Amino acid sequence: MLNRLKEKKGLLIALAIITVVCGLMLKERYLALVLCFVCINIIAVTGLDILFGYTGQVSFGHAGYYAIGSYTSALLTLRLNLPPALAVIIAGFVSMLFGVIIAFPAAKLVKHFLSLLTIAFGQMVYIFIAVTVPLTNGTSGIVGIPHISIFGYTFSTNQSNFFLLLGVVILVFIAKKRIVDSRVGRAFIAIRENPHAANGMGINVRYYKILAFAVSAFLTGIAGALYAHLMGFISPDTFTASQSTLFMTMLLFGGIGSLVGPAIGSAILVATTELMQSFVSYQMLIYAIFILIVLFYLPNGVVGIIESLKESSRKQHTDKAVNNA
Amino acid sequence: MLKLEKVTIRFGGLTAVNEVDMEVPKGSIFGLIGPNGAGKTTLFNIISGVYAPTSGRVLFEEKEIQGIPPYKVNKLGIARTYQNINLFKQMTVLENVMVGCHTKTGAGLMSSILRTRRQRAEEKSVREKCLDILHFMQLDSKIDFKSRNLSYGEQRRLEIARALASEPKLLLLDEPAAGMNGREKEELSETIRRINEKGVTVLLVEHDMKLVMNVTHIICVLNYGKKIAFGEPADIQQNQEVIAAYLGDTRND
Ligand SMILES: Nc1ncnc2c1ncn2[C@@H]1O[C@H](COP(=O)(O)OP(=O)(O)OP(=O)(O)O)[C@@H](O)[C@H]1O
Ligand SMILES: [Mg+2]
Repeated sequence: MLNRLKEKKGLLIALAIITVVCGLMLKERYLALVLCFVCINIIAVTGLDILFGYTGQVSFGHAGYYAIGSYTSALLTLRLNLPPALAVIIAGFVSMLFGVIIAFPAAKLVKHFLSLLTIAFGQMVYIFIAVTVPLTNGTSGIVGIPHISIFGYTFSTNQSNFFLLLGVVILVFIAKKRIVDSRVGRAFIAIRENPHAANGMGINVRYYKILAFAVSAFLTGIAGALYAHLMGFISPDTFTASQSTLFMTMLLFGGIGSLVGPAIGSAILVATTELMQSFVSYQMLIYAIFILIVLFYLPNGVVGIIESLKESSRKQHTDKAVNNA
Repeated sequence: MLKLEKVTIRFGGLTAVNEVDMEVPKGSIFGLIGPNGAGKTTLFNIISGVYAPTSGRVLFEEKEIQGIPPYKVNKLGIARTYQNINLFKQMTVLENVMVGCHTKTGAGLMSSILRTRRQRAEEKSVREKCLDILHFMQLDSKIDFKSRNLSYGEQRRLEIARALASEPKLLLLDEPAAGMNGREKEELSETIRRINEKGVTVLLVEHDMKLVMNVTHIICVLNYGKKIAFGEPADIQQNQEVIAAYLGDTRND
């Protein structure tokens, strides 16, 4: 009951934000595009959050899944003439397949070994798309990727794409919340908190780690596919190690293991990146500064501040109640 | 119910458990005692599947279970608590216990995303069952607390609650009274008895002799990995070898 109420409240807030944003957007084509980027990043980072935030398995190679999603969807539409909407979903599953393949060795590894494996995966995908010219057109990239169309309506403007992406984000949020609040989600969190005890309580740790990789890769793959159809053009430049770092920075800055963390992180970092367009060569430096802020001032990200504010107000509340009694 | 046959485990040169034979009768409260480093926790780790014994057999309800991974052992009906508390710290008290229900439930990823009717019904019954267990373990007032914010004694009780959630036939308790005060210990004795009365066989490792002598039906004594005595509490208290092992033990805690 209480949960229902909370869900509804969240929905109302989301609706309110949407209405405000719509008003702003109709005039600003550029703003609409930035908001599209925010949405795409939210989806990708939510994928990373399932794996890292909830299951405790680090990944510095998520640009790999992003790339696989992008290229799969682009190629399926251009070479096989599949409708983009279908291609996006297939791309998600292809990315998921790679997630599972990586998960088999990864589920046995911890800490720096896992970091290394995921970095290697990201690099492998990058190099593959950069050199396999017959398939991916190499460093020149792929052009002319069609926009998504559903029931005869083509999402060709930035505004319409924003609404489409926002819809996907909302679906992703609902799915994530449901996973987190379920037996599967509890297994994920238990593995993050204490893999030995999770095993002792009957959780097949390996299986759930693989499942987390699968869900994570699926979401980030979908995000990549949506990116391809939004931009109409993709090239290996988008899928470098710094893209993986960017996803991780967004997640850490927004706050791991929460619903809104990825949204906050994506919004702030996309905005910063856009504002700093003229300092593109300093991009990595800017991410580094964000990481430093997290390390020294925001161990739990922006969400951490909100949580601690809530907690202290609750404490004040109970203190008052005690004083009154 | 549980039978160990010549169970041995070596870590490098150290034989932590040495040819231990032991049988835990169904329905009993079985005490496993011995000085520090005797191999009690190691034996628990063997039974629960954390370690595979170097040699020997572990039989649970006539089935060999040595070398089976912990999550499968739990599913067979053996649940445990940990000497060095192993809770899911960031999860709430209720969530910790709900994790304990894992093997008794079956909702998967898709049914959770779709919130099928069956999944919702399962979640509801899990929640109710866990609230009952928490009531039984006198943790009702702490349901929404993060488990790391509990007192030491409460954390030990939560470990038991989580283990009970898997509806075990055999419950392994590793020093459940460590860090508890006198009153908490008395309540714990009562709780262990009540769990046993519900039909759960209990294997108890505990240093508090008063509690052990009070609550157990049979006791097995380990020293340096070897079984040195076996019998009813009254006999164990008189056993010369046991007394010597405890008096001679300079590694007392
Ligand atoms: N994984 C391991 N590797 C090496 N040695 C180990 C390992 N686990 C336990 N031991 C050793 O085995 C011996 C028995 O340890 P164990 O923890 O079983 O004792 P215990 O009877 O539970 O003692 P306590 O009463 O202090 O809990 C000790 O000497 C310990 O150092
Ligand atoms: Mg021990």
